[in-house]
Amino acid sequence: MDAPTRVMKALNHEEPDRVPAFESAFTNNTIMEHYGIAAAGLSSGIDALKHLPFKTRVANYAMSNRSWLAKGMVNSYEFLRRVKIDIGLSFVTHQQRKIVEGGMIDEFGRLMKFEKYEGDGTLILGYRGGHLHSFEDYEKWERPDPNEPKRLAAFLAGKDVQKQMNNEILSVPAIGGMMEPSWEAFGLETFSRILGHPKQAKKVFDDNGKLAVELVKILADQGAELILVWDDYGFKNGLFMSPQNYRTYVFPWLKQMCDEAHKRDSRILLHSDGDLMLIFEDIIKCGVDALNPIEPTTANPDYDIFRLAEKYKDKITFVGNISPVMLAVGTVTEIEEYSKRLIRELAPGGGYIFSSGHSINPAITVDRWEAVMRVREKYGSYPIRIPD
Amino acid sequence: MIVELDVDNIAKSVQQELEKHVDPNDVLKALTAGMDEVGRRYEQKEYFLTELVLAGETMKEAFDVLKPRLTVKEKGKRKPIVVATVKGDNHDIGKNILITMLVSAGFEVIDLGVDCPSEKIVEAMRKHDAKVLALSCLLTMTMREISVIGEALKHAGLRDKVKIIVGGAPLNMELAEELGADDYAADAIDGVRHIKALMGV
Repeated sequence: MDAPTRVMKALNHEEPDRVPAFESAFTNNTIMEHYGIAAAGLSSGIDALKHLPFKTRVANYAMSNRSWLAKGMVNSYEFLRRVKIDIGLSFVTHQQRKIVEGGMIDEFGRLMKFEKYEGDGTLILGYRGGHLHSFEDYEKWERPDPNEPKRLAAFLAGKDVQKQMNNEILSVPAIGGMMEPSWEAFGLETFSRILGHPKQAKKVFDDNGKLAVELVKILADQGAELILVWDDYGFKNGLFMSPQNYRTYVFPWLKQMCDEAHKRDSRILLHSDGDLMLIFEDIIKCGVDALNPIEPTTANPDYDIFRLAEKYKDKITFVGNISPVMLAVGTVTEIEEYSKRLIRELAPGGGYIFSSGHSINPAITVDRWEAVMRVREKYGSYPIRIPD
Repeated sequence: MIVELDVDNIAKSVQQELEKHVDPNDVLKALTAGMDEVGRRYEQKEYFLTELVLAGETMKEAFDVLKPRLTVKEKGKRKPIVVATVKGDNHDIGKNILITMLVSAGFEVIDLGVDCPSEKIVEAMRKHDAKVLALSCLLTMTMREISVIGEALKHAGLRDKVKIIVGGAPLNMELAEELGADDYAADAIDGVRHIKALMGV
């Protein structure tokens, strides 16, 4: 069975040949190298860019060229194939507006910088603050254009690589949602002030909502079977803003995104970290098809994938959730037992995609990752038969 | 006005109170009581992170007006807490919220910023004679740095004299103890409560 069929069957709550797998981010040079993939490409590309004149223009050109983009994706997709992860991403939004020392300001106005993990040199692009310091700054900021050709180039490049790999990977376009681009453009302090002014808040959320809905239409029209929406609504201790604010500013757009995707036979995979307990049913009502990562390390013991699945498993596909902390410091036995439990309790009948509960970061060791691989290989084929 | 999150008008109101010769320490007490109520509402899930942050912003606006009028005695009573995000970690949202809450609760905060090496922490603990070190750590791959800082304090002969409290996404009490910390707090409100207990206030 190829990866698109496997993933779509799981999303349809049917049993494919094996439990599909996904990671929202795999930033771990050691594991990549263990599977024979050199991770130096990104690092050397960034180093080379530092010395070039007109670096923003050069980077923009590179990001608009479908064949260059495809070449850049081959290694990461090949790595995913080797570790039996079914979904690879193409980045349709979050593109750079300006290159700055150590990173970039992206099109939403977020300052992003590369951080290098001392252990194995893994580079991680992380959020470092908002570039916009007021609503007036926001009004002057040129809004991202959904029709910018480089977006489609990124999506099509991913599909080219998927085809080259005989559909052993499903390439999924990833776009920004409403919450994350809205607050991160300003930083939490300025954003919280803007939220105190409902007209300003509405303008910011509506702009990001319109962009996201247009992108869903464009990508689904181009044949995207599944679209990933990055949009953290919560963190360890709860929600960023009140459920009512989500209902006012975010969910009407999320619902439109889902509706437009479904009209075109496409699906929405929402990635939101944090404890989403208070808005879990809202997310389902919006029509979200799959939710990642059901973070297992929140402070809320009720935000538990197994309990949530008892109640909502027939309504949404769960994509999670082995703890990255367990993967970094847990024992191999703990990892195996939790992985087995995920498959045993969530996979029967479909509606489940295996994943970590956040991402695969550089602290995760090869032996622990291999423990996950062993469980997936030994117990991940349908029909699921795992002894208690 | 803290509870109402009236960030746009609080500075003016504090100024008016001071012009009416209200004791600045009484104004501070009222503001602190407001922050306590915000903390209570946050814990009851009546307020969320953005409200907590906006309350902090409101407090900062008020404090900017109030600070020059506080007596030297009042300022001198403030006990120092050193706060930092560990080396290799550039996240500061949780740390900054904790700082606002600590200032509101009457502590003097020495903010060492993000990506903070252990040497800088040892130096600050010594210089300010701080009894509590609050460390923030969001990344799984940087949490081992907590042990490094503990060792550096031990090497400097300070470990027995200070308490280390930690917070951040990958942590819990069990991990905190494993990494050599004395205490763990789930969020900024919890952090202030624990720090007060560690300081015996």
